[in-house]
Amino acid sequence: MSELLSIATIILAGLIHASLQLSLGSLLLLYHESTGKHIRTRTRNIVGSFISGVGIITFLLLSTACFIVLNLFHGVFSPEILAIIIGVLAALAIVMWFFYYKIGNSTELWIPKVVARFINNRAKVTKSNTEAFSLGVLTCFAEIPITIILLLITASSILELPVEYRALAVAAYTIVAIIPLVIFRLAIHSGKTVATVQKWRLRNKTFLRFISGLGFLILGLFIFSFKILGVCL
Amino acid sequence: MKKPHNYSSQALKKEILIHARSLRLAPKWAETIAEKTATAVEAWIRDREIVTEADIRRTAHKTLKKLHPDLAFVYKNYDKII
Repeated sequence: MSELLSIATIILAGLIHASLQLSLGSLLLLYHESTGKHIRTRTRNIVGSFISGVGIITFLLLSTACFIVLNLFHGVFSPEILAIIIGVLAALAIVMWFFYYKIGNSTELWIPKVVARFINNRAKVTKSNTEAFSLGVLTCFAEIPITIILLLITASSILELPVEYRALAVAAYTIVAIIPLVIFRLAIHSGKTVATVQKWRLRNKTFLRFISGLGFLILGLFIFSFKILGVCL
Repeated sequence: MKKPHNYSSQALKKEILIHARSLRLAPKWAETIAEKTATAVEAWIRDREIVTEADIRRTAHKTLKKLHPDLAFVYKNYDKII
């Protein structure tokens, strides 16, 4: 049963990671700039490289988190650390509900202006696959203040699994985390334009914000119930 | 504060064409839209000595909205995505 709990935690954390909007926003921007300047094949490659960048760096960050949790905490968080994690998750839920998006009719996020401008400028001048890959890496790093807690929780859950399934679990988290980017790519492939996608994001901004915040809160309650109170399935 | 610079209709057209291509508009139709928008903006700024970039964007958006609402939406919102 503990394996089942670990898998549930990994999937839930992955879904919360997927609900974050910086990577999707950057990809939208990159796609928009690229289709405006390059032929379709080049754009497709650039988008693919960006998604690879996000995927590979998420995989590596999670592996690093596993290494840190294994070496610093011997693979298991103490109840005190878990209590801190739950506090941070509750705080992040509030951040998601009230501060993640800027007020107004836009999908702008409360990230440092310098970072937002840098990503904007990089998206505009990105021409090669390597640059797109690096932009994917950059957006992952820019999201670290929020994702680090998800990565640590996932790492601790992964370390509860048998050794032979750990790499698979890291890959599963990565795949779940990049699902929105893949869906975006498929949507574009099926004829949707940047305007359609951005209008959808604007229309559902409140819903996305609510879901992200709720996800953090549920994960916190999940950890509280099963890891601190020790409720067994 | 940004330094003042001369208005360039070519730059405006180029920007509109990039947005239009990303929306997969037919090239000729995109050029017509860009041309019409640049003409409308030029007519608006003709008897003004100083205009701001925001004024130009507002005027261009107004014209684009009549010609192609999706293009107008992207023109207005592309820098507000993240």
